[in-house]
Amino acid sequence: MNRVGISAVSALLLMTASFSALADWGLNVPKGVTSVSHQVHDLHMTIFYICVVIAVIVFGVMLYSIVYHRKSRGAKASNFHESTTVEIIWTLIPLLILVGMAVPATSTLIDMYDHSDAELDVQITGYQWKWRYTYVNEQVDFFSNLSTTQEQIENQQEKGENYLLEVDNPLVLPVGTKVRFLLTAEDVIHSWWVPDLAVKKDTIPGFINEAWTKIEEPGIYRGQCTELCGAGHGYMPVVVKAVPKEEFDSWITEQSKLQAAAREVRDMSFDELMAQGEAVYKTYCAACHKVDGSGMPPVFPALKDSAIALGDITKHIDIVVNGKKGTAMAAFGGQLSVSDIASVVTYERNAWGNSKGDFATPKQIKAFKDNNK
Amino acid sequence: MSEHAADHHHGPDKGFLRWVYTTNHKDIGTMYLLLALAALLVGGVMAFVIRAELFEPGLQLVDPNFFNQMTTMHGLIMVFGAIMPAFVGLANWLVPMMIGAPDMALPRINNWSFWLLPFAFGMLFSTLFMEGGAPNFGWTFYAPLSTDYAPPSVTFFIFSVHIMGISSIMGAVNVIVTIFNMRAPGMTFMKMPLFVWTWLITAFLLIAVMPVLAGVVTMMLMDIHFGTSFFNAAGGGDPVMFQHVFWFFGHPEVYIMILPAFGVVSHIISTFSRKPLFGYTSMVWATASIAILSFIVWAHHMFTVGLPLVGELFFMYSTMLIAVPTGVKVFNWVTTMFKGSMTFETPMLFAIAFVVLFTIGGLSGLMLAIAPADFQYHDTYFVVAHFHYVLVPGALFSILAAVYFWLPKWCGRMYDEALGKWHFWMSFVAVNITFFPMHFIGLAGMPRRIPDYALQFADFNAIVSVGAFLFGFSQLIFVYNLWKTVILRKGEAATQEVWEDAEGLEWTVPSPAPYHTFAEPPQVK
Amino acid sequence: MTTKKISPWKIAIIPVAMFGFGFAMVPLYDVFCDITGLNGKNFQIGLSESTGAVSAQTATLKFLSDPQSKDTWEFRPERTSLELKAGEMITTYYEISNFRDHPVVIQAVPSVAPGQWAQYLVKIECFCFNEQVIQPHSTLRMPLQVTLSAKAPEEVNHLSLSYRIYEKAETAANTDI
Repeated sequence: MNRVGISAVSALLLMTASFSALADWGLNVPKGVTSVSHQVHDLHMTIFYICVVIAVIVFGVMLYSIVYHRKSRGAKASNFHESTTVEIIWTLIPLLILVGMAVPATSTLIDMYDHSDAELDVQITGYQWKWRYTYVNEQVDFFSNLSTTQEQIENQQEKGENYLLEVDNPLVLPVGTKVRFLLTAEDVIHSWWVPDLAVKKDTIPGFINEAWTKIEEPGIYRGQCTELCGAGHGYMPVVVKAVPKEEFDSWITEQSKLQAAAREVRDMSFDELMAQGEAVYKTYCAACHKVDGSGMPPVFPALKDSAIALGDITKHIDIVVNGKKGTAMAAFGGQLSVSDIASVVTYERNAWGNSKGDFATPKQIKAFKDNNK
Repeated sequence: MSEHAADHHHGPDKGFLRWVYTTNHKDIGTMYLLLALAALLVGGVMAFVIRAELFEPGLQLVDPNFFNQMTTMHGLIMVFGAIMPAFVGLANWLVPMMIGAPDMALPRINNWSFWLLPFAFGMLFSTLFMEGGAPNFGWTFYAPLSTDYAPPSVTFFIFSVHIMGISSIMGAVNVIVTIFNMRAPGMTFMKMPLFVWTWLITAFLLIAVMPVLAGVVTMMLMDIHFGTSFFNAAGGGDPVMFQHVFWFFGHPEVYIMILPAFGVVSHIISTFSRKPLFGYTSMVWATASIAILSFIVWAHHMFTVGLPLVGELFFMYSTMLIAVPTGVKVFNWVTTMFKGSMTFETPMLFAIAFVVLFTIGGLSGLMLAIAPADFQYHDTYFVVAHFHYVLVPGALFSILAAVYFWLPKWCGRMYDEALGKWHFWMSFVAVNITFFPMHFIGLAGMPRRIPDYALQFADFNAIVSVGAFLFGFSQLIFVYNLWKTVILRKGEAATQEVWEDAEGLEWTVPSPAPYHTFAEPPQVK
Repeated sequence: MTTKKISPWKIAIIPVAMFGFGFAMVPLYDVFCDITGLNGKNFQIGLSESTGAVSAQTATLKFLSDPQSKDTWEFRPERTSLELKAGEMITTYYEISNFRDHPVVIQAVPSVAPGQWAQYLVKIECFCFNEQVIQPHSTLRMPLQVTLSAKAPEEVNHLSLSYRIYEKAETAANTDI
């Protein structure tokens, strides 16, 4: 035997043996928690093993030739160079294997496309760079933002266990209920994926896609956006929290009430504005304008010592509410509540050494929106 | 005519302008190959930036927007600047000699096809320095990210693609006309070397689909600057239509990048097995079937977009079907080796590695074809692993194999075999360290095109990054070997035959091949 | 030479034709979407024989609005769902509000899911057929008349209709509407 042969055989054996070990290390498609995800996992493993067998046979023959049919071993070259019979055989056998693979694949796909008889409808909208969940019949609607801090991303803080896979408001769903998802996007194409549910669907602006799931076990299931959507593509995770039906029912009723209350306008103190403003700033603004307000000029201007934060407050409110056309500054008027906008404007005018001293109130923001939408 | 040929002793012009004005297929082939090498190194540096950032979780080196520019430009430069021009360079050098023709059919268009490229790539590269940065929407540039949300440099990206497309189309027309019209007497189609066949079929794919790419970027241009709504729902358009038109080009494009590789590998394996290629006729039919089938599989890149069930099933079946002729080719190569009398010089090492590693890439492609499973693989590192396996130890290894194989004929000197073997083994090991773990991080859930990732992907990403740097630096061995052989002219003088039992008209001319060969067509039996 | 000659000009026809084909793909795509319902836009418009006919088929129709449109225009359906019966026409409304000092012109763009059943939704009258003008500081109540096609097969038991509001560029500048 020789170096080539030994190293090749060992490589193959190591690779094949490691697969089962790797599955335990969480390096394989998960079995998941729905009947569809189980079917997909089984299909995946079947196809995978078929591919391994094909590879072992083909590479085995090659290895044999490399060892025994070499000139240095004195092998003499044969002259055969065609055989129609053999060509037919190795065309038909793979074809039959493929037909065998296509049958379970087809039935799994048919299952995945059966959107009927859903008990709960959830509209999912992809934004740059967060998700929005709307429970259609219950009138509950909220954004789901990455909650990992900028400090962790910039390596100033130790990274948490669910680094980049945690959000402020997860999508809460009841277990054992068929949920229909209606997916769309606000700006560019995104894609909503949760591996444990085996649901992945692109969200296309101006169009509605459908998907469904029925989660069998309570738990927290994490996924990510899987379509390049700009700078924040890696920072918009999906978190689904599956809970027993009774817990879901009480949660959604509570949410309904809370949202109705938040829509009301109330007075806030300067300290409340600053505290809420800092939180809003970190979630929505810091990725571009940086935690310390220094930004990444010229694309993302600095807010510290800036004309906008130290100038006319109406202009400042305007740019937060309406965005700035032709730049990456989105219109946050539709995404943030009036109290959030008032607080973040207040914060930007009074943080990092900016000491404008003035502040915005929720009533002011509502009036601005009513007059200037 | 023969008197004139005997008097025709002048060689190439001297000086830089020789290269600007040349219409000689050998010169033009050399220029394409050098451009491809330069693009490989530039694209490689961008890969270094990507892998350096991805070495650890967190953002260390670049911001996400620049990272997206790197992934986009890496893809564009490797696909359009390295792989495609390298194969065109090989076609230029080899097709005329293999069919016994004095040059390409359209030599002046040939010159122009080449010189358009440095201009196009210069423009593309310069976008890195424009305000707003280079294109950052992926080499697949889906709308509306690439239309409504693109940086201003997108217009230059579009022009650059138009120019490259014109170059490819003219080059492909040239190849077709050359092969149809200028074969030596006695060389029927079924006597042509396989590399010529694979390039003929590739050329037809090119003229069929590059214009569609030109169409889709023109539609983008119109949406961005002239107020149309091809891809904008507000005006009645559809972003998904972009994907259909793009992938109608995109899928045949990947076969354009691999069919010539199949030709190269067929030549090399049969030469170093000292045995004729097994199943020549079958290989020709398999290549043609792959090319035809490649037109009806495009939506397997779009399984998650929301196609109706019937559409998903159709594209799943057609994609699975294309595995059959591809498998036939692999079996034919293995049977060529079987009961041969093999030696393992550098070209053979790369060719054998191609068969093994391309097959792995092909098998992961078969897994991706299974639409319900694809829902878990799509847009993850599993896909990145698949296409890098077919492109790097696939297409790139075949190009390296071709250069090692034919370089002695081109320049008259043997390359350094020891360096060649070092280059091979280091590349082989590094390419697997880089791309094999990507299968697993993809299956475990890591999406593509992200600058930062969750902690469970950290260990394998670190391994991948180390492999990538190792692979990149290994290519310097190759560059040094070329320099040593071609510029320093160290290395044994090559014989006419170069390799024992090498078959083909190119081995019947002296080494180095004279500036003009086959001024008189040879008679082929 | 016994080989046939081929002209580069003849070969060059192929790339030119394929460039045209690329553009021809646009209307071809529309036709294809019409037949297959790929993009959820091929709902039927207007009354025809199939809509006059009555069958026993029913389907739940859900009304949705794009969330951003809801925020910006307070665009919302009057009802979130109703039962459609084949051949029976039902009228419902969407409301939209304009908070500005000048009139706005909007276009509503509909989308139906699942796409392949969109052809069984018949819109007899819809505010999305035309651009709509909304006067300053007012709310418009826009009608929608739909029915289910009698051709709908048994499995068609749910449909979702969503609208997204796009503002027409000229409104901001033009205050003379």
